[in-house]
Amino acid sequence: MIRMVARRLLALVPLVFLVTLLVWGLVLVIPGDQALAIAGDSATPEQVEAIREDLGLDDPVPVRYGRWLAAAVQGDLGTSLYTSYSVTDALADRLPVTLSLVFVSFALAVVVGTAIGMLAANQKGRLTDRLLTVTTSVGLAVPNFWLGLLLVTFFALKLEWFPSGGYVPFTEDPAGWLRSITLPAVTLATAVAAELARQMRASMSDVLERDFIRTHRAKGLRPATIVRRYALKNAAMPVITVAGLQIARLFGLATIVEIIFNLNGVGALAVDAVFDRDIPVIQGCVLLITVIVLLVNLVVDVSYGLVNPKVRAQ
Amino acid sequence: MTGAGTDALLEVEGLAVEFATAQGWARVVDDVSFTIGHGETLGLLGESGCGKSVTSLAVMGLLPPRSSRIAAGSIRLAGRELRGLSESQLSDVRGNLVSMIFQEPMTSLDPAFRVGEQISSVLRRHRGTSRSGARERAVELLDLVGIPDAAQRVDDYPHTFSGGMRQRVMIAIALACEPDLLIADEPTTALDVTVQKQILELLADLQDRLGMGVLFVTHDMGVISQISDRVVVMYAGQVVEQASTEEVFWHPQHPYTEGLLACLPAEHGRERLRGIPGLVPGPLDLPGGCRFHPRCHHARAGLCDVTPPGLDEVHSGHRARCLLARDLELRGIS
Repeated sequence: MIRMVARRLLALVPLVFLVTLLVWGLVLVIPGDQALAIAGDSATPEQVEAIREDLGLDDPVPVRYGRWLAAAVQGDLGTSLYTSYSVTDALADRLPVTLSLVFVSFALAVVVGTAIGMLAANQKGRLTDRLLTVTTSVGLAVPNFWLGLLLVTFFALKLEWFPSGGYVPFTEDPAGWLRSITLPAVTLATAVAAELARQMRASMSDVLERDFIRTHRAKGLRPATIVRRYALKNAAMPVITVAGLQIARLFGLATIVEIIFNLNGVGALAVDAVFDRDIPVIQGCVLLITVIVLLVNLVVDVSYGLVNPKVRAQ
Repeated sequence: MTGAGTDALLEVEGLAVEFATAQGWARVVDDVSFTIGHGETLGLLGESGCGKSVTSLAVMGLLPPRSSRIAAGSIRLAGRELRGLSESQLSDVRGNLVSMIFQEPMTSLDPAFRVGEQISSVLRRHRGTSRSGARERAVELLDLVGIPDAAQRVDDYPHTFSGGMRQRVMIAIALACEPDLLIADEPTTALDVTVQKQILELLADLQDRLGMGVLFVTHDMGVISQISDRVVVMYAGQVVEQASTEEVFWHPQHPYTEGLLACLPAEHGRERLRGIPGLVPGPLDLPGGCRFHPRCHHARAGLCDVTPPGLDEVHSGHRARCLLARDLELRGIS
């Protein structure tokens, strides 16, 4: 098990290297002159040239990449072209917001999706199942910016149960943190919960038809035990794979939710950076999210091994 | 209300099982009766689709709840009526007083759990055994069913066992609570011939030691002859013949049984294998009169296709559902 994790971590190195190439390559692909962007419209050609010199933009491409990579490995992702803040500091500031949002959403989606999927599979073909199937279809179809606005209108403005936006750090006020993260997390979790519910329903109803379920019944085990302990572990295997992919999706969708709820997360930062052509910040955001997604996939693969003894043995 | 003076372990009487179809309820088991004594082995014999597996699932209370129903009859275990018990009452009986092993050892064990856990869960359910006590007992049981290195193997997962070894694990699970009755539904059909023999010997040996009754369901005449004391032959959902194993093999009283016996390869014979022409009719297109008459070469027009035969005693302890039973000279094995 430990060897498998070590091997997988090692395999990440070339992958991350490739990602840095692509991320850094942005500079070459994106139209416009960085030096010109910084200098502004009123700058003289000499000023622009000075900035270009300063940033080393005239050096050959491999040298520029090498310089950037060497710094990045040491945790220095450069400086924002506009705010002159360090990109690393900006990301460290914003990351807790995005991580809170994504992981609370993911936990919510897993719990709710699994419960709905199990219930539907157990009631397959009956009214409960059909109602839940309709519910999950709606959950998949609703655009999350619309759902977010709806939740804000009802639960924040009308009932005033939750704030309509803004983020309270967990370390400052855990209860406030939970209140600030609830509506965004529900917004973000809905589509993923619906997807997981469908996967779980399919997987669980398949498992419940298998011969070994009949064996468990022949042993006299109680139906609830059979479903919750035995069938669930078997049914979880394909769902875990899907759930892992959903985490990557959550990081993408989080961007929209961060903007709706005025959360200063990595996604909101990336969007601002794109509008400003603030290339070091874009690079930093993309690199960070990519590395997180890769690590999450590793965790997913490891937990897959935990439920599937055949994978563990290899 | 138990039958006066009976000390039978299992009494099945007039059992009828129906399955839901697009055309309504189809009766797949009709008026089936038999008894099993303590320590006795009853062979339930018939082709695929004759209702033998459905009968055994009915005894276990494992019929699919919404698509099937027990339409008539009673199932008594040591005098206690099982028909009509709630699912929770039945689950107290299953794995405890009555156990079952199945045809497909490759798929009947849970792939996600260690075999030891699968055995000890029965003990914890019915006996309230502690986790460590159940584990110890699981090792003993694996040893009892002849799995080498039981103390190590108890922590292995099913995919590391061969088919024969998995069937041994199934037997260990079934015997964990020392049931009074073991139902074996084609337990050797999916196994190699050599492994088949070992499993049969193991079952016979364990039965001697534990003294349980066995309902052995199979389509294999050879297996039946080795293991059972008495035989019930089923055809198209009905019992067509019932007698001691010797009687059935030497002096069959039903043309269907004769046909099955003729399918056995003779020991030194050069004769071609024979089969019974035609197929078992489905429950929705049963022929009138005797259900076997379209495939029977003794059938008499105007009689067998008109009058449904009853399951009558031909001579003491030997019943057959055939209008011509007393007239025909049928060939047993010779």
